[in-house]
Amino acid sequence: MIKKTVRMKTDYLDDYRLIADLPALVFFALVTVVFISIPFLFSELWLSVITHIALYSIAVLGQNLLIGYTGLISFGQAGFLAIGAYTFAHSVHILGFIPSIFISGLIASVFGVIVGFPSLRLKGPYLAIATLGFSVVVFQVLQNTPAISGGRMGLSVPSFGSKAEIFYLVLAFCYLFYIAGYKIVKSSIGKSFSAIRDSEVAAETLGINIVKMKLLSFAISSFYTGVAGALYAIYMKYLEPNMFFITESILMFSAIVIGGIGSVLGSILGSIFVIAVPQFFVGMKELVPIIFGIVIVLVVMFEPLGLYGRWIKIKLYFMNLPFR
Amino acid sequence: MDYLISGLQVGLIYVLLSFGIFLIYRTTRILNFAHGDIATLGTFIALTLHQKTENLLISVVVGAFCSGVVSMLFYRFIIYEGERRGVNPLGLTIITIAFAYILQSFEIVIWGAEPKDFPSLAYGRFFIFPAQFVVILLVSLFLMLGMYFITMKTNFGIQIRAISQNREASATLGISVKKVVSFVWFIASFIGAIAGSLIAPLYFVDQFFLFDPFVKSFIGAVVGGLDNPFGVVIGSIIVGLAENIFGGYISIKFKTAFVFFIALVFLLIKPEGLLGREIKERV
Amino acid sequence: MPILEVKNIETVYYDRLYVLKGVSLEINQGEIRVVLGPNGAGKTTLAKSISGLIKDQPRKGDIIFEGRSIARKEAEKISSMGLVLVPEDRGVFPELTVEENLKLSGWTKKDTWVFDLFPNLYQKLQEISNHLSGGEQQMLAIARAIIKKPKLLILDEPSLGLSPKLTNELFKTLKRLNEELKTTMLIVEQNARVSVEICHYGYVMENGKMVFEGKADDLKDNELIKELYLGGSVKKTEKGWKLYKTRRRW
Repeated sequence: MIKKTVRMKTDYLDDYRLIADLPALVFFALVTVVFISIPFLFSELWLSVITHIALYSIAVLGQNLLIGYTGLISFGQAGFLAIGAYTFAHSVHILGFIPSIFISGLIASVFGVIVGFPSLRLKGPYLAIATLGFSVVVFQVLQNTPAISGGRMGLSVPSFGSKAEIFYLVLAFCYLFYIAGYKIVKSSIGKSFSAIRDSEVAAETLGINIVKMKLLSFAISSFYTGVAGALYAIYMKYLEPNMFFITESILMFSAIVIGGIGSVLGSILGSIFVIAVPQFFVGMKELVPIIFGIVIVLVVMFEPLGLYGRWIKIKLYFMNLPFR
Repeated sequence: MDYLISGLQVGLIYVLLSFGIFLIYRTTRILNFAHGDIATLGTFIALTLHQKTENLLISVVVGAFCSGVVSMLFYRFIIYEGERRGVNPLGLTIITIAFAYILQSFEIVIWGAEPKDFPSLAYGRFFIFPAQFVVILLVSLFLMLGMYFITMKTNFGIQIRAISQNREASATLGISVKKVVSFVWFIASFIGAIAGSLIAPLYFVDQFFLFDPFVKSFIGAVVGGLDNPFGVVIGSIIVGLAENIFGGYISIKFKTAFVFFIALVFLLIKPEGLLGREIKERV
Repeated sequence: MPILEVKNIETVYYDRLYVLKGVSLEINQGEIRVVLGPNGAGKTTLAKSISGLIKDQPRKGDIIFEGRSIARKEAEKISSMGLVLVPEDRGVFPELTVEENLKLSGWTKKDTWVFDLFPNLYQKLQEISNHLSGGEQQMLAIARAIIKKPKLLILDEPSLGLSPKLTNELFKTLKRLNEELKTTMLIVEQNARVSVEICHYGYVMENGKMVFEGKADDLKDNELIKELYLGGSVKKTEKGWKLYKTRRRW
């Protein structure tokens, strides 16, 4: 006797559905309730950490679509984040908050398409260098043009509201972008991305337009990252070029791999890890990177599939609980 | 002319650093982000030893040896175990990033964060060239020729090349992958730390001082082609020259951006690097 | 006493995909034995498990080589003990010359006896091995293994990708090796026709289990082998399907 734990999916739309059945709906609702009550449960400090995680996870998800699903290793994250943040900081005075968040995403995705063109020819470390170069160029431009970056004083961003309000804003965007991300992954676009990752030639023979799909992947991912940059600007309330150094790209890359390459949920787990873990050791000052480094090594060593892999194992364990 | 010399000098340093990146990439398929930091550790050790013993040459060699050992142990006890557990190359790359964090903080804890002076191996001028340039030229030529001899002519070199091509088959022939690759990591970091000590007099030494050269030599390796050692050498020298000539004559602020631009142009013309082989995809 | 004894080994991928479900075999000194089976029967996994190429596998069971257990040992140690595998993809190092390939297993200029067996290689000693044809690469791989004077040679699908004519030649060479150098061989093959001709004893594997074993003559007139001539027969069992399902969820 095998316990019937898995609801069989019978057609493609079933796979595409976000809330498949009643338990999932209940779970979803519960999670939402928990999220909404976060500002009442946590202190100011942790609230701001959680806000940071939430906005960071949007960017990580975007880059995961690019790195994890399409398999294009990119270090352009810091650049897109910076473009999003600075676009927002300059356009918010004219357009208001919500429109300029989207404008930031759009501008970032335009740059994303431009950066994406080399990806049509480059692979692996070669593409990594090209995109890393993009981040460096953006950083140097910001550092050397006070008109954009606001010079030595940095660029201040108008206040959106209290910490709780900012949290709700970020949460709303998080929901929007995660649902969209889930749908993208499950749709034919997402399947094309994975096909390109696994074998470009095979994908091409199946009639997937590689040029279009790679550029689309860059556009979507940089849109996500640009929006995250805008939210980051709201969250930080001021901007300076040093916040977008290339180490930021490397950190975000770590978040993707630690969370789980090519998984939507893994993006959240990875962001939680990267942002929250250093917070726990914040009292130890210089030792923070040492401990953080050791924790990363341990996690990667013992969870080759990323934190998402552990999540799946736990889930499977509970699904099959009376057996095995 | 001065820019040419300084460009060549930096280019040679990049050659030494990128050669380590290349060796490690070829044998383990990892981009070793800790390469610069391991080399920095060696430079710091050399600096401390120099203050104790006053003998620079020995201190540099001992420092390089130490960082080689650190690198070897890192491979043997972390990367190798990770490979055994089935961590993919991206995960291993993340481990090297984490190791870089660890080393940076460790260096702050031991040596402090403030920049320090590093003595030069040779002062003054040698004919029209700065003496330091001559030292760098000779040392890097010596190391490169040595590496060429080791990898192309000795049995050990054949083993290294065999492992970089097919690890499983090497194991079936009784080649100890663990030992050979550990030694490759040792050599890579040994050369890297010597490069660090050679370039240190030009900069101040702190825990990040090799980050920029590391990135540049990474670019150099990629521009030249990660498949071919000669490509790595040529790519790194191009990067060094381009950076210094642009920095000298046009704008020092945007020189890093310019290097990346050059790299992009080269890569778009030849996506597999200047001397790299075409990437074939099996279907 | 057999030179190699495989006792009931189980190899599991991803903690849940049972590829070998209790396989046993043994080989005596100087014999050629062959393991036949369709695609996906676990033949290659068997060869790799014996030679230690699958980390921490076999999970259960034991492998005794010359009276010592080699299960779960490292591949290079097993190889140095004298059990050499010629892998499925031949494992020729494409960028090295033929000479360098041979040197890797300890060949020196004095060892000309290899070229009596593989005359093609002598002319191409300085050539990059990627430029060799498929048959020559296979010869190179076998020559490289023979130089190590193995006590037991495991060949994983030597006929893969070779034309029928080349396959025949290859198997003749293998027979010669066995007769002249007394090399003990375990050949893992799909091509039943040629391998039954040269072997002394054979096994048939299906779905990770040995389903038949017997002398060469028994194999020749066995129904199952005849079926294998015509192509693989993977039975879609209920259990296999479930395993497939669970694997898909990952």
